[in-house]
Amino acid sequence: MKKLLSFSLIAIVAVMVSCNSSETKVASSNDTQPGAGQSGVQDDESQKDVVKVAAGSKDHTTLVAAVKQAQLVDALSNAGPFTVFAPTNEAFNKLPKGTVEDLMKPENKEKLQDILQYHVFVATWALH
Amino acid sequence: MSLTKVLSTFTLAAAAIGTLYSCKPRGAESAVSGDAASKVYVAPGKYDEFYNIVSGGFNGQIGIYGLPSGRLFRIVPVFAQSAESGYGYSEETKPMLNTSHGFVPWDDLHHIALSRTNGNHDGRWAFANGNNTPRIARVDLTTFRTSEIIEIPNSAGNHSSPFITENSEYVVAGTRFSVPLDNDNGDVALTTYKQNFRGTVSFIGVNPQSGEMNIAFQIQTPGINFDLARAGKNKSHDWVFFSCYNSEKANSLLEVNASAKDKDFIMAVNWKKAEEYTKSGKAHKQAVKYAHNLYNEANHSATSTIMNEVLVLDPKECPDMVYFIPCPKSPHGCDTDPTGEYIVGSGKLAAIIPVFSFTKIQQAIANKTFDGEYDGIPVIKYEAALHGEVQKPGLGPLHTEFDANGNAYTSFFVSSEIVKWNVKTLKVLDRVPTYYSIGHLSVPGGPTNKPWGKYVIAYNKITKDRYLPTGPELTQSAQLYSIDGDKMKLLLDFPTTGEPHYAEALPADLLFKKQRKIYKIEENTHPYASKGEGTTKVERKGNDVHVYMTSIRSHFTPDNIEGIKMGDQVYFHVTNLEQDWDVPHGFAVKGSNNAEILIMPGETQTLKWTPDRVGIIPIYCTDFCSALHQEMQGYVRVSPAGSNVPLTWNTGKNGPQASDSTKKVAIK
Repeated sequence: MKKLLSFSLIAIVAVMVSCNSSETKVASSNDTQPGAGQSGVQDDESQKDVVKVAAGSKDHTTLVAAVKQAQLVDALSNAGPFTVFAPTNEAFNKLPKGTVEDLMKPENKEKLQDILQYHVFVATWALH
Repeated sequence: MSLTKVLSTFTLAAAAIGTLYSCKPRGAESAVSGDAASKVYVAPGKYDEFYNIVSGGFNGQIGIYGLPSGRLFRIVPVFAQSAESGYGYSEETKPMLNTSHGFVPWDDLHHIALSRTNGNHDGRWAFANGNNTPRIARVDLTTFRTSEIIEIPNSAGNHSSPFITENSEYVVAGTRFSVPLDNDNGDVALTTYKQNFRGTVSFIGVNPQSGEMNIAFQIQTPGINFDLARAGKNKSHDWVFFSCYNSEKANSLLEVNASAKDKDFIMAVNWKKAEEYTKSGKAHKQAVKYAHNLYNEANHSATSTIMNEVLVLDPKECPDMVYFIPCPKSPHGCDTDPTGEYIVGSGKLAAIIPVFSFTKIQQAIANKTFDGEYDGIPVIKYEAALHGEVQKPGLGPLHTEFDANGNAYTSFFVSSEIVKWNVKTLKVLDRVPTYYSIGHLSVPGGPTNKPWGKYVIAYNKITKDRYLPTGPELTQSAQLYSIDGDKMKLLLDFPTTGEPHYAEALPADLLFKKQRKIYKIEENTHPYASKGEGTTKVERKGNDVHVYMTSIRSHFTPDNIEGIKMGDQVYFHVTNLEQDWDVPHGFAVKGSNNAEILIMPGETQTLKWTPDRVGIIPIYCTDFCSALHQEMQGYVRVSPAGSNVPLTWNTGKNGPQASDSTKKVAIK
């Protein structure tokens, strides 16, 4: 009795499932990451954004590393616009010994993000 | 409950559910093969294979779609004003829509011809026709902007256009409505059609470097109507073939009176011969008026020039240049296969598809195998030109395209289907329904010497129940079919904008890397450009006020202007100082009898405004550009006529706080 019941139930489910299996599988070979910004856009013609400018400067390697660690690369590559007060390596070196290394630790990421965001203004200023 | 009762209940339930979730397709209508979705799905971040350049018909624009996804990327303004971009509204683009009739804000864009080099797509330009006020437009495929529009004189309707020769030597324009020529007396009774009305076919030369068009010559023809045309290829390179209907020369109720004869014609024109005749002085110079409009990318402005003459050839004086080939019945389409040997005529009311052989046509001409004359032009004997007829293909053939494997695909309006047949053997190989009432179809590279193949797209005229209904007015429908296998497979059904007639498709690779991203600000030669905030100003010249303004995230310079007076015409010349891909700025003025303008990086565009009242008028950026786009605004003060408020302008000067006469209350 019970066997028949379960068999019939399975049969019904089988009918439903077998028809659904003709549904097409969606190709998902290259899922983009959620929250991705414009840092990956291939563009050699446009004016460099703040991230590209900093990345191309030998005097700002500490800042670039910090921005990467703070996961602000994408946000700063977006439309903004941004004015970044960009400390040079020399400026970072003036901090008490160990400050930068400490901030770069994964457990201090939020602290690093906070400090870096104080250096970013969402506007452009003309320096008359 | 007894065992049998349980059994029967469950069996009934299973059967009921079984029919509900039936695995069988509903019928021919839903005959989409299982893997269709994966064939048309373009994953996020990936790109389509083909650009589909689609005519917009009565919207006067061109739609740019991706295949196989069917997604619409852009509507390119060509013949119709676009309030969205300011095309036809800005001072720089208004001249594009100038004609001998004055400013015409709309036209009917039916067909697309992509430029070719040695027979194949080269991805430089797309040509499109203006059917109503006869014109041809050229669109630059690196910017997807209309670069040039030329009007056609001696033409009252430009349907048989544009069709391009093998190496982009010429783009042709054939008349749909015969009328007395521009220089003849046009004030005649309509029933004198047969005596006074003429057609013309125009050959517009294309400069191989710049793409610039010029009307090389026209050929005067009898008063018949031209529908579609196609250029020859390889051995038929020197020829263009036009389908003709209304050989009855009716002027009224053409529905009946242009369908009387069993056969109309395909008109074969040897343009190489016509070139020679023109060079040797056989063409008549006629005084006409037509506009030639060019958009300059350096100064971002269009100029319109009225041209005054055109060269016209008379076939009666130029033997061996034009021939008629009989073709059943009220032909719509005339297409040449990739080899250039076969010419296919599609007669709207024909029960067969005639396929003519270029070799046989040449023989017939050499041997003078004619069936008399039509208006002094030799008519080749039908059987002498014929390769064969496709028997019982369908009802109402319109248009044929080809793949690279010797197959032809013909659209059938009346029976609403695409029929695949072999060009040599004339055997019908496959047929698929379209939903509903197909007009044109397109195979990527179909009109070229080496079609890309892969798909055929049906552009239909009737939609009815294909999509979620939207009141009485519905989008037009299109279907995408795979032609990879022996049988065509329906993959996708997608809506289109305007009413597509003809379209062409080319591989994305041909255009992808060429696309312009920004206009370099250093290269801007617009007379009212401001290349930096320091050069902005407001200048008064009598009642004209010129505002040299810049825009950059997220402010205008100047954004506060005073001293405008009633009676002024104000020109806002806005330069977008951005040099970043996809950062346009918009500009609009409150209450202006004008549209907005969208200005691309490095460009300058001008919006003209006539203040209509005293007061403060806001201006602002209309295209979401930045985090503080909402703050990108300004004010203009309009004073009464004759006021002595000085003309001043600035950005950043804010007023003082109101004086504190009362004690300040501490805010807790």
